[in-house]
Amino acid sequence: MSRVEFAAAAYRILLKALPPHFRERNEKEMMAWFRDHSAARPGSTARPGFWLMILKDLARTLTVEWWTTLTMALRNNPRKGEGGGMDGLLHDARVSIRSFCRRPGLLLLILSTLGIGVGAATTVYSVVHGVLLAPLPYEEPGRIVRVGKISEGRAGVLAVSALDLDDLQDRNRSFTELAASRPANMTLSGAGEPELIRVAMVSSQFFGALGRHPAMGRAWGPAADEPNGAPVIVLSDGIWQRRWGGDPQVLGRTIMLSGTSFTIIGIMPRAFVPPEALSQRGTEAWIPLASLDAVERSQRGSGFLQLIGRLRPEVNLESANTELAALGAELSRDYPEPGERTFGLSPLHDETVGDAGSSLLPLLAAVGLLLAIGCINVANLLLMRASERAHQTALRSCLGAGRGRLIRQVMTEGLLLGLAGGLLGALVAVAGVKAFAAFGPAQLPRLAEITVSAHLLVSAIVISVLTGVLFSIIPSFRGSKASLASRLAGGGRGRSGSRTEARLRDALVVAESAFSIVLVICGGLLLNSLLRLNTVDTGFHPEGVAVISLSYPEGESPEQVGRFFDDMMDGIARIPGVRAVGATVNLPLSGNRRMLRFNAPGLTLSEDDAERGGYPVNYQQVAGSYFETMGVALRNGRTFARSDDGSGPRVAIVNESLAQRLVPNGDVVGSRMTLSDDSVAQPPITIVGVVSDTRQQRLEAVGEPELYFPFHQRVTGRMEIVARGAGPGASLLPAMREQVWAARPDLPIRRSVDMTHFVAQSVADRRFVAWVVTGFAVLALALTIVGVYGTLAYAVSQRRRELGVRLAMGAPRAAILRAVLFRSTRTVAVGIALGVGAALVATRFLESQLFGVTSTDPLTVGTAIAVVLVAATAASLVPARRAASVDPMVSLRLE
Amino acid sequence: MLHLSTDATIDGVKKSKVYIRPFRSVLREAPVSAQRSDDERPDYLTPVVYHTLLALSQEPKHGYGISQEVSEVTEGRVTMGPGTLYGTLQRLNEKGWVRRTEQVDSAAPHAERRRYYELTRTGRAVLRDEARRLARAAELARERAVLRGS
Repeated sequence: MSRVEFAAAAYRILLKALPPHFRERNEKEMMAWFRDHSAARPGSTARPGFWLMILKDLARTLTVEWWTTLTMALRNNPRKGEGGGMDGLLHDARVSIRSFCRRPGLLLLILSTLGIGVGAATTVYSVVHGVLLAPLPYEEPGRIVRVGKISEGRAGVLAVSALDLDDLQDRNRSFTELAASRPANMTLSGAGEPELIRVAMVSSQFFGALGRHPAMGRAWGPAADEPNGAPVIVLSDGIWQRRWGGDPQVLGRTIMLSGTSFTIIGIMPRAFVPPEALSQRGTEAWIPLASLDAVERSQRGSGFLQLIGRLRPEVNLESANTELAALGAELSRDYPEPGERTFGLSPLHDETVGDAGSSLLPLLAAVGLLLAIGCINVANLLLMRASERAHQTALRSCLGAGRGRLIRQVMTEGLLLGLAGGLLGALVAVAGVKAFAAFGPAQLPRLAEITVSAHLLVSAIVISVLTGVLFSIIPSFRGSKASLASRLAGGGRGRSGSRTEARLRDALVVAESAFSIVLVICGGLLLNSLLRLNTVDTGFHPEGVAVISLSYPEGESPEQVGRFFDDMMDGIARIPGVRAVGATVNLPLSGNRRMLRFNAPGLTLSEDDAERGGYPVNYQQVAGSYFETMGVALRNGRTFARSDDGSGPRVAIVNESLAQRLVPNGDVVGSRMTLSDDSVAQPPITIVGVVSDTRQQRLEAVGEPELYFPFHQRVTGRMEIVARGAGPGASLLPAMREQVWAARPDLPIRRSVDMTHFVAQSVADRRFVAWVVTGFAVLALALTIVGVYGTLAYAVSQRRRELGVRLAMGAPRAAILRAVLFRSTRTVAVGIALGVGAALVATRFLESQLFGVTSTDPLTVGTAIAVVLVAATAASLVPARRAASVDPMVSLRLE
Repeated sequence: MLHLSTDATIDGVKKSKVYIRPFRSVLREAPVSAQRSDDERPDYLTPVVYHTLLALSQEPKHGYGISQEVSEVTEGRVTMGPGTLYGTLQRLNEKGWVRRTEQVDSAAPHAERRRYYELTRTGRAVLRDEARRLARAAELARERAVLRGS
């Protein structure tokens, strides 16, 4: 960033302080002024004098504009007749504000409690709404579906070949549009520095299927999708602003993408979000399918196009699914060579959201508890205030204040508190959602779409106002009903209010401690799982390993592909600092699996397995010194050698779990197996080595059998190249990428990461959930401490006379301390007992998030109980000591 | 509440000293004229408003152009930062004294953001009244020989 740009960015931040409507109208022009000025007087942005002028100008503008905004708002506020409701209300409001200003501590406590509770709840709800509930940002999103091949054992719908797409488009009657998309990374050169951007090759119906069209210019017609179609491109608003400064003249210009020139014909609207289920996140340009490789296009067997369709209005999911199944059977019959294929569909919303609910719903439950605790706390504090004011209320009543008048006063107070707390909560929510978007787990779908919507903020304020009004009005009904005489006599200083009132307060403390122990137990279990996950022995050493994922264009001969990856690994091995290089199809912890079935002499099969053709096992092809690079230990036999290629005898390596399954407690090296998809003529495979188990699917998955084949005996176009260096893995990545682009500039790199980062990513959302729930648990605990402390402090202050009498009669101070502590701890203990019961049920829903601990883990539950109990006792200690240190003379003199 | 005035020029007479005024007097300046009612002509214009109108008297200008010219003709005694400038323009626009034109500067790098402003008929009339008032005031000063010796 140049100095001028930096100054402009700083100025833009300063402008945020202006009233929104003023900013909306003038911000762009003010920024233009700023830029014009820095262009007209180079270097001026570096002078203090300039900034002094800017700051003076801003201070003046802020004063004037905010004042204008506020007075306008007030003037527009209609004030009905004199002496009537509005005036009375304003009077009540003034009284409330004045009386609260006399108790700033209490006010602060109530407001911060409401602010935290409402803010956290609104934040989480905004996220849940944005990710799970909000409709996708397309035209009639309910009718958009993902279409593709369905495969047993693989989730979701899979890609389809170009030829199958053509036939599906011709033959289907269910869709108004059926469009294809294929992600690619391409190097944009020409305007400015070359840059790798994410592109999607899409068919012309893509925009129609989503119902979103370019805001400027146009999309292309079907002709552009044919081979030799016109090379055109539609840009996202983001890249248009970034590279061309939003210049409308860009339409019609040509740009170079990976060596081909494309004509810019359209710009998508700023609000357009590319469908995450289809493209890689951050797709910035769309080009026609014409750019597909001619060879790829002609192969019916290779599926690489992801399809979306828009259902016709009269067609429902089921009938479309039936039609697709029929079309699949038809195509399999007409073109039998690529094998049987089944087509199906799934709503785009489901495909996009995936199982995000499993990590978001615990958060929603946790924040609900936190909000409940917050409400209880506010209720408790307001209740105390009402009893405190009993004397005042009675006095006002004597002086002729009607009951309605008294209730209205209290209601106004609740309303004001709720409003202020709600506004505070709204601020917390805005900050919270921003923080979530910035620090939330990157795998969370639709992260870009999460915003704080106006109606959520309004509902936050409404919730807060309702809490305030409700909990201030309940005691006020009781307060105004009580007999004046008793109130005046009691005077708010005799006993600790009435017995029912004390009971109500106790009930609130019970509920509060019950809710918070649930949260503390959940947080504890999640943290415990996280600790265990972090210490899991993965079976490999990710430190110092860099990963780069390559997809070689399909349709080339296995020899070509094999040679390409060999050359690539040789090239990377020559990078200074690289110690070992290898490649695999599926990285450990990637969650991807390839499965086949095999048979071996001596292997006993279940009936089901025997019917399906053998024992099921995950397999993967590895190349180079994969095991050495990843630090996977060789237990027996040998690893693969260069001679294990297409011409050599067929070999395989098994992991310990599979070795144990094949030859329990024996030597498996040298034994043979046949694969279920082998032809009769093929010789069996010889097992040449045993390696240690790795956590191949997930960190949680232990002891899954794995089978490794040498890459050259089962060539595939998608490989993850791993390299181990002396330093951190990330330091190798730039040189590795250079290496790839030097050989094939057009090759998309799907992933280039440090392996440790990859491992951390695999638990990122768990970590996030664990920390957020723990954060909520800590807040809940803090609120409970406040609640327990407040209740007891109040009770003690109300019982000063009684305690004074006791002390005067010779009661030992220690006994009083004990009695007060015991009473409070007993109340909390009841809450804990109830809470633990509830937690045992609640944590069952958390089981999918737990690892290595059961949902009733005694250590965690025990610790949680101890934590809450100690916290509550500590909170009681201060008021209890105060009770024991009452000076009998002083408290009796109060009489 | 007190406010540190940054506005060092009143009716073209430079006051080099920064002085302190009650906050309210600054706020009273917020409306562009001394008169609160919007439909009547004001008694006098603030220097910022007068010079803004003056800058637009011959041809439409964009924001930076206005502040440039004001700075030039007043020899730097009236400086308008962007906030003052666009705040003033917004209010003048609301009063119907100036309006945004559809013209954009296509040569400029931030083409679509550079808006041009022009005087309306009312704006021109207000400017003329104020110029007359100032001329009369200057005339008065000359008659009383205030300017002699300067």
